[in-house]
Amino acid sequence: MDAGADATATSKRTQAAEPVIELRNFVKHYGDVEAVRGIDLVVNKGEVFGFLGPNGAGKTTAIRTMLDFIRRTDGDVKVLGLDSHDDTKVIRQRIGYLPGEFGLYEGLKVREFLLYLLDVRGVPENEKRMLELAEYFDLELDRKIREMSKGNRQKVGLIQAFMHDPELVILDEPTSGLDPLIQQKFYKMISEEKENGRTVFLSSHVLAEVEHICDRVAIISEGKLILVERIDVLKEKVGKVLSVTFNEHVPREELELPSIEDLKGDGRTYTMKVRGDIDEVVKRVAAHSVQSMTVETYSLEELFLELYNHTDDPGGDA
Amino acid sequence: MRLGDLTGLHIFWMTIRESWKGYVVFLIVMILIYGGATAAYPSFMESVQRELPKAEGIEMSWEDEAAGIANLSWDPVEGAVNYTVLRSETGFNLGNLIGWIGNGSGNMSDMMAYQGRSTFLQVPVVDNITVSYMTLIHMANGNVTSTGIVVDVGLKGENAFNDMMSDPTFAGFGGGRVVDFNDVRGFVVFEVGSYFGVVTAVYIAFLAVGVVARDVERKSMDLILSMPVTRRRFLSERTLAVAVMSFLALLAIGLVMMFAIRGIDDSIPAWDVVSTFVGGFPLMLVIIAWSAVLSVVFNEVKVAMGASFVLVLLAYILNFASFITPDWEWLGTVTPYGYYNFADFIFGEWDAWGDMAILIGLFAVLMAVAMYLFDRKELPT
Repeated sequence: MDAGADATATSKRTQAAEPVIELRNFVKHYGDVEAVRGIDLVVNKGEVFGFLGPNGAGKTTAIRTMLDFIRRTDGDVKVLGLDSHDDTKVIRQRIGYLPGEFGLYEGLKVREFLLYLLDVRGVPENEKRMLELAEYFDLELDRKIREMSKGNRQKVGLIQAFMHDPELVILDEPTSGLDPLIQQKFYKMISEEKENGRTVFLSSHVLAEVEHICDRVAIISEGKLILVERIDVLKEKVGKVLSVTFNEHVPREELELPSIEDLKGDGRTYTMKVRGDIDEVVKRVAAHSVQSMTVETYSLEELFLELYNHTDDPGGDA
Repeated sequence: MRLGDLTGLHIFWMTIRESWKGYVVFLIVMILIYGGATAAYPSFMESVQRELPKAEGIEMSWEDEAAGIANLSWDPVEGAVNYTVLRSETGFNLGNLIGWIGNGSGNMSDMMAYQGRSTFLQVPVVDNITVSYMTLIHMANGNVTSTGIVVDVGLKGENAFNDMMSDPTFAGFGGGRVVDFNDVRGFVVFEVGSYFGVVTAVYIAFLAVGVVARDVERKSMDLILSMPVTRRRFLSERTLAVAVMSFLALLAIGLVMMFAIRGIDDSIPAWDVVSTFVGGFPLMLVIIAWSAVLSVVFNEVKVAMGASFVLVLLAYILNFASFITPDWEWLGTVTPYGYYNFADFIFGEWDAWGDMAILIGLFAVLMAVAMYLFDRKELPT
């Protein structure tokens, strides 16, 4: 898969769009360790963008560079059209951020802590919005932080990321520790935020969640971008899994078509991956008496695994 | 209305908000220790009160202790017609005495303190000078005796603390001066001033090493710095909070000590006492600043704290050593403690504005270093 070409194509498609995050040949080294090895990425205004990759792939490094917590070794990193280092204060004024792992001020009550953050941001008038979000996430504001569970702490993190109505929200593993009900509420909120024109950039290990809420996704591995694609295109591109049981014996050779991969079966029951045109495959199957047939979309998880099985030669320069 | 709204210094107020409980405990403990030590002065002095020497047949009592005049009296001796009291600061030489006694006059008239029939004499008592007195008894039969009526009058050996303070090894306790325990300020210099600079500094360092490292350690730094605040503002407000807490602690201790000391001796100017403690502020600023540097360099509070404590102790020891011998005097120039003299303040003799300027300058330099390093620091995850 040529991630560089994908990125370029995407860029062309969204030419009229306003870039909110731009990484150009972004390189980050920690001493001799090459954490990020030259990535190009553009996220446009109004997108919900998923950033996927295993631990140590470079996701958090990229995010923390955007926020100027660490400094790039080479390349350009722009957020909201501004340089991530030179204009960091202005950028932070306009973004919301949820770190992947964070600590709170244990001795404070939730309300005190969130009001403090609003004060530091200089938007104490957003207290009403903070209260709305706390109610939405069912968060008790008058509890001491030290008495709170991981899930509730995560709610605090989410609320502080959104309570000042930022233009761009950067979320690192946003649903970590949240129970399924709150996760659903979070997905719903992201949809609403998207409708309001908010840009959301999120990194996640939960592929189903990315699949569920993101417009586009980038996959990073070992510091290199190996794929940038729209979720719907990606699903189409990666194909489907077809399972079929015949009423008669069907020779394997009958099913060996160019669009079929990984064909497994015993003569009556077969499973196969279908990439590209499924019409030809269905017609070939229909030439025989069929007892049952199911078609499943490839999950991102499976795609993820497949990509990582080929990271030695990702096929793109990203 | 929150305090931060009035000043805009939200990080400053939050730093105080987070530290106030421990801070109040520290203040109470310090006030109890320092004030308590001072309040103990009268009973301490009573316990080490100068005791006049005693010898068989001799009585001594104070005529006027403050003026250093004692009454020396001895039991009348039956058959005595006259008494001669000899005085010597170097002790009595037996040979000379025999000669003196032998011819009844000799050439020792300069030693004679009294001659007559009285058995009573007023003698001066001077600190650290021992004077020996001998009474010779002239009997009716012409004999002269001195049995049992030799006494050394003085304070050597009678006030162990004053003696100890005159030893150069202990000069550091008095900031280079021999402190006099007969003055409550001398007592406070030894009992409070000798460790005040270290104990206070250790607590201030404890607060200051957290200015950056505490947020890094508890992983709240990313969250706070994702707010629209520069690293410099963050460090400045946090450091300012520690500096203000430090100043208020010194002022509170100074006021308590002012009441405690003047309760014992109200002739001591109030400002001399208050300024003694408040005058330690520039030194505390230096300790705050080097702790801030360590807080930026190290990501763990404990490590930064350990390093800062070692520096405090080292700086204190260097200053102490600088008073022991003139050869080591230069050590006082390389430690910030050398630029703050507790004793000079309390005795109203401080005018070292240059020293204060050096400490403030050092604070500014160290803070600039802390800012520079923090600006360039790659924040750990």
